[in-house]
Amino acid sequence: MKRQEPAESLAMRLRLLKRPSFVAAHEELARQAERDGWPHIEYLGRLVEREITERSQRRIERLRKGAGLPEDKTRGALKVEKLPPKVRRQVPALCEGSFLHRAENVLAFGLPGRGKTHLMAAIGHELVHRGYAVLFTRTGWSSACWPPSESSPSIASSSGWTPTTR
Amino acid sequence: MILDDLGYGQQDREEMEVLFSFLSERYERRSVMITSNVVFSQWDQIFKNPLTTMAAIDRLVHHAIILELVGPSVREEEAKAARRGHRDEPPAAAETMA
Repeated sequence: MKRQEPAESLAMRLRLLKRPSFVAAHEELARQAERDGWPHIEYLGRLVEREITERSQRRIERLRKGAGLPEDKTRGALKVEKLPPKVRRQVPALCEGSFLHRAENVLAFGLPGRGKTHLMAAIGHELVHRGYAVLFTRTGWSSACWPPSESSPSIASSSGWTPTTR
Repeated sequence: MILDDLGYGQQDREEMEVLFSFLSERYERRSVMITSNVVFSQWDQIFKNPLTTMAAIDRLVHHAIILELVGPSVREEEAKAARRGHRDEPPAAAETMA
């Protein structure tokens, strides 16, 4: 027995399953599949691939918004030639984020204007780009702004540290 | 978690305690990145109590990468360059200095 799905209810169900890229792309890809004679499995494969790619893009975008990093202090804008050679050599490895897996801290010391904040923010941007959750916070704080309310749930819950509600 | 400019401004006792318990919580579990222009020997200004200070530093540096940003102020150099205008090229010697 042939079962014809009304298109709207399919989109609705895909939405219920939280597959936004399926919702957006399944019709367009289906037309392409018919035109080019893709086997069913290839159609499904391409749809899944799109969902995965866009999901990671959405995640990074969400992390970027939640990180609170100064937007202009990127790695591209960092004047690496001004950094002491010992520090400069460590930048690529720090941007990879392996120190996070070892729960290592990164401590930057120096007099004002040496680029500590820019360096850390630049590493932060790179980490977000690789899918790590980052939260940048200035500590010239008062109790009114600490703990930071913008903290991403993943940081707060995984550290066992609960932000107070305000 | 990046804590920018630790030690800037005065923190009261309660804030210091939140900071200390936060660092203890993260110790050996999650990374913390910190920038500060206060050297460790003056951290008792942040934590008030010498024992707390010692405990905090101990945990922070146990697994840590320490970056010392020595050298001239980038900000100051940029301000000077801006005042000079664009006609002057920066001195070549500045590039080769270690």
